[in-house]
Amino acid sequence: MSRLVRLYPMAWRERYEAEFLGVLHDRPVDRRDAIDVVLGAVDAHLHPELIGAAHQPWTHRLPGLLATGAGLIWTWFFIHVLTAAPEDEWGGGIGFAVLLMFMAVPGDYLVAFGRRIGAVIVAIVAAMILGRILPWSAADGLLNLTAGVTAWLLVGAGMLTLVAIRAGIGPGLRWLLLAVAVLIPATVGIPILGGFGPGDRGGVAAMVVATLPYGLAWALVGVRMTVRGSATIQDTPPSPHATEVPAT
Amino acid sequence: MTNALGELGRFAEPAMYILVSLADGPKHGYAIMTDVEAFSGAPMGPGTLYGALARLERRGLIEALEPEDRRRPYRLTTLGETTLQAQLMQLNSFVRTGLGRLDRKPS
Repeated sequence: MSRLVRLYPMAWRERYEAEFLGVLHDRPVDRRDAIDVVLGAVDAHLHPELIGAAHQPWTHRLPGLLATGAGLIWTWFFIHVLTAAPEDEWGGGIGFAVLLMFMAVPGDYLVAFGRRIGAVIVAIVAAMILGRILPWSAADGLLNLTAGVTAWLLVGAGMLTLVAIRAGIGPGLRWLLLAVAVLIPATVGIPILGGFGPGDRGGVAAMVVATLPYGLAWALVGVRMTVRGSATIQDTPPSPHATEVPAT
Repeated sequence: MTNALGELGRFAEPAMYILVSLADGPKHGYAIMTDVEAFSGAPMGPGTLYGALARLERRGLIEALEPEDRRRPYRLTTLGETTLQAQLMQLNSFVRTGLGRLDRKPS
């Protein structure tokens, strides 16, 4: 149960961790206490000023809230697809989720990683052109599948990587997240999807397998970004290409 | 509850309990929890305890003493004592008013 203390921000832990662990050691912690500790950790993230850290404006929570909203809408959409009757309209929820995802990664951050983003955009456009050229059918499924998987990995994995970096998730955990949310579901779901025709329930199930973890990953990263706070487009982002100008 | 603790939101009541617990001398976190549970009948979770302690410390109503092993005692500051006294006086007046009105209620 003492592992729950890791949910608290680092500055809070430096000040209170030792005595907090002492309390957890002295008192047997039940489920209600565990929930109380988790809520306390959320509170500590939302009020960093309590331990002398600078208070973050509410706008720093906005990218995280957008990412959380995008993930939840994405997840809801594909659950809806799975449970809806074939004749039902699926609605425009997915477009709205993607829009929120783009808003959660503001332009200034993209500019700071200009070269890499440029390469991704070129690859996306290439994949889209390839998708236009090749019609979707079981016969030429292999090439079409390659285009679909490439586009999905570039767009899906790229966006999730950017937002995960923004949420302060380290490289190891980021790769794990990508594997669970994009690579493994795409490897399992998309090839199965290629074997079904449009409107086939098996194809719908495969699509849900391939995409549902992605929405859940966005929601989780969004929650982390919300409690941690994240600079917005109004702040000056650190540029990896910035050079110091000597004083004259 | 006056503004001093009222502005603590959901931590106002736990903060009041902590101030009362520290009124008879310094205590560490676990001692505060057991004391509060004994006199209020309601258990206080560790997350709530430290959320309230951080707020009280930030406002200068309590101060941390040197830690003993992993236990760090807290004590009331002068401002904390004054604030607690004002809170209790206000509650006392509130209780007397309520009880007085119940007594005068026509049957």
